[in-house]
Amino acid sequence: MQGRTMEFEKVKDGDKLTYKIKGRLDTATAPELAADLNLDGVKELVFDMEEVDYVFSAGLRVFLQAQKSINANGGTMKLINVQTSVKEVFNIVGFTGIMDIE
Amino acid sequence: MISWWKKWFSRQSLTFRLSISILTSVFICGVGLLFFTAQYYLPKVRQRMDDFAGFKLQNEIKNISAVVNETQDATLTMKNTLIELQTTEVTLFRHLLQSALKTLNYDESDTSHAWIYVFPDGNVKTGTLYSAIIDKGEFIFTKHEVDDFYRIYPWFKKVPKEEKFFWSEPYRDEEIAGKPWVASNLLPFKFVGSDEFNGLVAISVDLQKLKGEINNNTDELYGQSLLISNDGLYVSHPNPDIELKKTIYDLAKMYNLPELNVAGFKLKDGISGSIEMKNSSVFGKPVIFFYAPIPDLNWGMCMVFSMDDFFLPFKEFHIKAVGAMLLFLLVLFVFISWICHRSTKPLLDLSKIALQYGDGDFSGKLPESKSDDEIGIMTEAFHKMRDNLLAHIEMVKTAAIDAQKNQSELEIARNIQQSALPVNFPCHGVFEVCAYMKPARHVGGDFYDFFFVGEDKFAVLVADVSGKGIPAALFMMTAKALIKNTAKSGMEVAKVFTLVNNELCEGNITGMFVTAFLAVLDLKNGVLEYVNAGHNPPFIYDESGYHMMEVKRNMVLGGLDNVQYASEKLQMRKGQRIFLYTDGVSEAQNKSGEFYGEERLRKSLEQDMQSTRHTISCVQKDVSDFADGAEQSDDITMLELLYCGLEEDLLVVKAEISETAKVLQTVSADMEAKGVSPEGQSKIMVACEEIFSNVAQYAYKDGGMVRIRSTVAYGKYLLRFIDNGLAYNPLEKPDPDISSKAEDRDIGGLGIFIVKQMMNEVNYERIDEQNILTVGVKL
Repeated sequence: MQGRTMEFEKVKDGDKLTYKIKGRLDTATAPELAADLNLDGVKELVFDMEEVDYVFSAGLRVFLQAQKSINANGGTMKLINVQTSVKEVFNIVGFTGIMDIE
Repeated sequence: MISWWKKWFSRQSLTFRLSISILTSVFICGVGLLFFTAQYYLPKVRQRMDDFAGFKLQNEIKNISAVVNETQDATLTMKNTLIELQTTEVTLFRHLLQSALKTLNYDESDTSHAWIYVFPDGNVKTGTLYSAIIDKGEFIFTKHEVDDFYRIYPWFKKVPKEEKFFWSEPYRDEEIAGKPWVASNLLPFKFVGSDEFNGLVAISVDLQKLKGEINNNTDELYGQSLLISNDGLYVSHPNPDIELKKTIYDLAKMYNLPELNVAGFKLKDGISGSIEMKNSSVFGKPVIFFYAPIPDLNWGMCMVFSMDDFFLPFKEFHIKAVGAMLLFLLVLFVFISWICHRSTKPLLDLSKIALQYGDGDFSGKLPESKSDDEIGIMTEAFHKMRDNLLAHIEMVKTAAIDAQKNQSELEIARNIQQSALPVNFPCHGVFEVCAYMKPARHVGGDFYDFFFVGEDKFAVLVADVSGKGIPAALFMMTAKALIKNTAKSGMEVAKVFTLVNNELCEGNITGMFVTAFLAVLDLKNGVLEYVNAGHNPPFIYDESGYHMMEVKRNMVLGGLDNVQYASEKLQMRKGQRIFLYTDGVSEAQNKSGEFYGEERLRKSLEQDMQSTRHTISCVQKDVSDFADGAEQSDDITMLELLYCGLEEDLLVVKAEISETAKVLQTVSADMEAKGVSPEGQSKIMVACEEIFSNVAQYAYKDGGMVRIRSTVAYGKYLLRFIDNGLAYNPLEKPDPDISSKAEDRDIGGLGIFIVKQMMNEVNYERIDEQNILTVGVKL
């Protein structure tokens, strides 16, 4: 587990923005994603979590911030292909109630 | 049937039962009285009736006899004159007849007939008949020869040839106009010197005249008179179909009254009497029939009384008596009901109030007792009962409040004592400890204790104060505090007991003492130093299983001052255990008085050795099962200490985020080696990242080191983070509100919250300027 532990690809299609994330969102890697997130004019934000093994609190903060921003834009945010272990973390902190998680 | 009736009757109200009983009695008395009256008076009434009937009968007979005698006198005069004169001169006959008829002095309206028949000696059939009639006041005399007298008077054949009166049966007199019914009085005669009869004189009496002499009124009450001829023919009878047409024998047959036949024969023989008949030609109902013969005439006079009507007053009396009785019973019933109601109402009131009292409601007022009768006595008793009850309730209430107070004080004492026993078993890599205590009563004299002595020593203690209950508990609290405080100073264990003993002996006027076993484990090298003050030896576990430790027994604490205690030492190996207990365990008894014993305890200890907690709860359950509900006679206390071996650092790294990957890699490998489940590994990974990043970011201002240790204890994988940074307990941070909306959510505090949620064990300690955070998951 040396070197970079998180990577992502993003696709912007009009006001729809899709992130495909790989690896783990931890204290070290989450700020990268946070820095990249520019939600100006985005109405539909999608995170494809298929290849995310771990999401730590730093990652959760990014998602919470994103949700707040998109709510302010009047848009929607969606997390898709979330692994069971990751979903459990979302569940523990009560994010399943405020986010659209599949 | 009778039992059913009895059952039913006993279920009715008192009023009803009393009324029925009294009314029935009175009714029976009344009926009995009536019956008695009837039995007494009926014969008397009957006697009176007989007397009355006899009197009336004789009266009637007297009247008839007057006519009979008058007629016979006239007949006799005629005969005597005839014999005296010895002549058959027609004028004489005419004169005789005329004077006889005159003698009779009949009314002009009466039709009377007298005649003289003269025949040759003994030859009755032919002769001369001189006949005289007075018809409407006119005297008519005829004389004619008769060639067959029997043809004119067929009944004459019956006339005896004797010189005495003979009365014929009634017949219709052909010689008189209207042919009235008559009966003739005959008297045969002989002339002087003649042996044979020469003739006869006769006077016919109109039956109307005879009937006129008797009372022909049909009156049921005063009786009906009946005149019967010698042959039994009814001469007078209210029924014209019977009068002069039927005989007494005919009626006996018609009405099927054989006794009437008998009466007829008796009359003929001149015997009087009476008969009761179920039917009558006169009244058409039961009657009494009196009869008596009329002398000379040889007819019978009868008197018929309707039985019903004669007894009518008597019957009326009975009906009225019964009516009066029923009325009386009704009045009596009302009266009894009223009396019963009056008597039972206080009872009902009392029972109503008694029911209220039974329900604990004393608001109902008891009626005042107004009289000295049974009800009054009962009411008085109720008053007393109520007062006593109230007093008793008050007493019980007070007692209950006292008991509750005692109870609550005892409860508090129990809480104090229980809280004095530590229940948070420290989570340490080097040892594991678990203990249990159950007092026999509310508060006990047993206790256990464990505490750190300095940083690297851990002390365990089990003790048993002599006696039980509050005194033992008080002594226990003192002993416990003394031992702990003394031992915490770090001095050698034997010396601890020596000092404590002297302290306890001082002013110990009650003579109480305590047996105790104190052991101190050196966490740095696993050396166990222990001292035993008269306590039962503990069990020790090694590779060959549990066995009783051979320990030196010293004097009990508080028994004798200035005693020197001696300690012993033992080098514990990894995985070795020491089990301390009080005799409440080994001497637990079942219902048949059997002891639990050391052997059962030894076996039970080996049942479940997953962790010290498992072992303790296993023994606890086994002892409880053994006792099987028998009362616990002594406090039960046990403690087990497991030496897990020395804890070593897994990793010492700089507190920097960049080290995260290294930390996670090392921990992952360690978990793999210690056999943590994949699920547990995954959870530890999350916790490890959160904690380490936390420490890296906040612990030091100018950078520092983090030591990470791991161990397996209490069936858990434990991970310890130790840093020398700023004192900070992350567990005190309030949990985020996970139910609020996204906009209201704080982005901080999530990491430690996740840790708390995922870990089976989370513990923070600040020891010696160090933050020690321990997390753990089940293996």
